[in-house]
Parts: sequence; structure tokens; C-alpha cells
Amino acid sequence: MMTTSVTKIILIVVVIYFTMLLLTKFKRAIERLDLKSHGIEVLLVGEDGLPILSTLSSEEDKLAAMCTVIAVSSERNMQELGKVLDYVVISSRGEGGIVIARLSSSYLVLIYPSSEKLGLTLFFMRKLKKELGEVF
Amino acid sequence: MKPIRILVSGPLGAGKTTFVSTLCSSNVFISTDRAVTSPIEKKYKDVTTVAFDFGVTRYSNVKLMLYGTPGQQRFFYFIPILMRQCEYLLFLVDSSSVASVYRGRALFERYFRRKLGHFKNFLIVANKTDLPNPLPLEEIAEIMNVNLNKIAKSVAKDKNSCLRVISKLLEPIKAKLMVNSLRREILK
Repeated sequence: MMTTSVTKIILIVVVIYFTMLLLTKFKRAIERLDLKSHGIEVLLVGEDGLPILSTLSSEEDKLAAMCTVIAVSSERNMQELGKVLDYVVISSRGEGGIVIARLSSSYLVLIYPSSEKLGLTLFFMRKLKKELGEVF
Repeated sequence: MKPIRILVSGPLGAGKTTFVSTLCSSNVFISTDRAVTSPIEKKYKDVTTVAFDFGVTRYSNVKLMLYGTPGQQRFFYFIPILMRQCEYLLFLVDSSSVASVYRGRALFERYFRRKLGHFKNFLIVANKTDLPNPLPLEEIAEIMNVNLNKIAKSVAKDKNSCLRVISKLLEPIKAKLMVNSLRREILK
């Protein structure tokens, strides 16, 4: 009885430690690229549409689900063509847009404003993909 | 005859993907299943539909296009988008679980009850009737607040059972389907 409780506590501590480690890695990567000053928001979404980490203050759940639907549908399209999905770009009329990239077991979403160039956002996406791709 | 579009909806774990795949796996079947990451959701199932399921099959020489909705609440915004395309509705519930039927009622009330006029016909499908202690159809009709003749039972893994549900759903146009079938035979 005592042993199982101790094991449970150890397990919880380990999970918290690793979560904090991932959170720090995510924050550091974003700070290093100075995405805040570019007005770019970042969202990390699980394959099943649940948000993992985000710099967004609100509406992240809905956006996470919507981005997953787009990414999964696009992935299925590529699969039908015998290709592998790299990223998806959703562009609005002069008001920025969204870039969704495939990581190993999640999706990386970058929301860029109208003031930001798509090319630069794609550059940031590649950098983030390199840093976070191994973990997520 | 124009293809018939059927929306297959229902709560989480009702058997929508299985239903569409059983009917369409020999023709066209597109699934967007992904592994579940949440431990709470993992209790119900290991993989879940993200986006939609899509399948094409033939019934009485008519092309049937089936659209399966996702069961997770966060994807429910996708239901009205899919609903616009479809003329018929199959609403699946897990008849072996009272909780699933009640979850189905909530979903049905929220998205379908007021839009039933949009569909040419609809059925509440009591799925998983092969499992032990399934709820009687009368009870499901009472919980779902629909007429008993709008309830059909099925086992989504069994193609014949799925075809019986389709047959009941398309009963109002049975004569039209027969004429279409005869015309095809004559033209052959």
C-alpha cells in the first residue's frame, strides 16, 4: 500500500519535471528567435487536436482543433498523391495568416500578422521545427 | 440518379468510423484517425476521428456518399459544415451504454433537432447490439425523444446489418431506387 503511494508520487514528480523541461525548451526557443517582437504567436498541437503549449492568451482550444483538422486533411491529400506533408500555409487577404508544420508526433502552428512577411515566418518555422522536432 | 449523401453522426465511440468503413471499405474509404493523447479520452478508445470519415459505396445501383462526423467535442464545429452537404442522417448511439445514449441525446438536441427539416429522412441507429445487455429500442427512443419507427438496430462490424439500416433509411425512395435499378438492367 505504502510502496504504491510512493511510486505514484515519484511518477507524478517525474512527469512534472519533464513537463517543466519541455516548457522551458519551448519558451527558450521562442525567446531566442524573438518571435514576440515580430508579433508571431506559436501553438503546439497534438495529433488529436489538443493544445500542448501555446503563446496565445485565449481561444487556443478552438484554434488547435481547427488547425489539426486542416493539417490532417492536408496530410491525407498528400498521402493520396504519394507525398509527405511538410507544412500548410493559410493566408488571409492582407492580414497575415497561419503556417502549420508537421513535427514527429504533433503540429507546430505559427500565426503571423499582416506586418510580417510569409518568407520570414517560414524561416522561423524551420528554425523552431529543428529545435522542437526532436522532442515533440 | 444523383448520388445520395448520408451524414453519419453520433457521440464519441458510437461506431461511426466502423459503420462507414464496413460499408465502403471495398470501394472508397478515407479516414482521418489519429492516436488519442489525453489519458481521460484514452479510457474510451485509442484512436479517434479528426476532421471526418468519407466513404463511397453503391446501393441498388445508386452511388452513396457517406460523411462521418468526429465524436470529440472540440471538432463539433465541423458538423454544420458537413451537414450542409447531406440529404439523409444516420445518428448512431452505443446501445450497450446508457451514458452514450444520453451523450447522443445532448448532441442530437444541440445540432440536429432543429435542423431535421433539412434532411429527407433520418434514423437513430442503436449500434453495438451484439454486445451484452443492449438497451431496448423503446428505451432508446424514449431517451432520444423520437418515434420508435425512427430507431434501427445495427452491428457496425457486420455489412448486412449496415445495409439493412441503409435500406430502412432510404425506404421513402424505395420505388425510385427500383425504377432506377430496372432502367439500368434494361440498358445493359
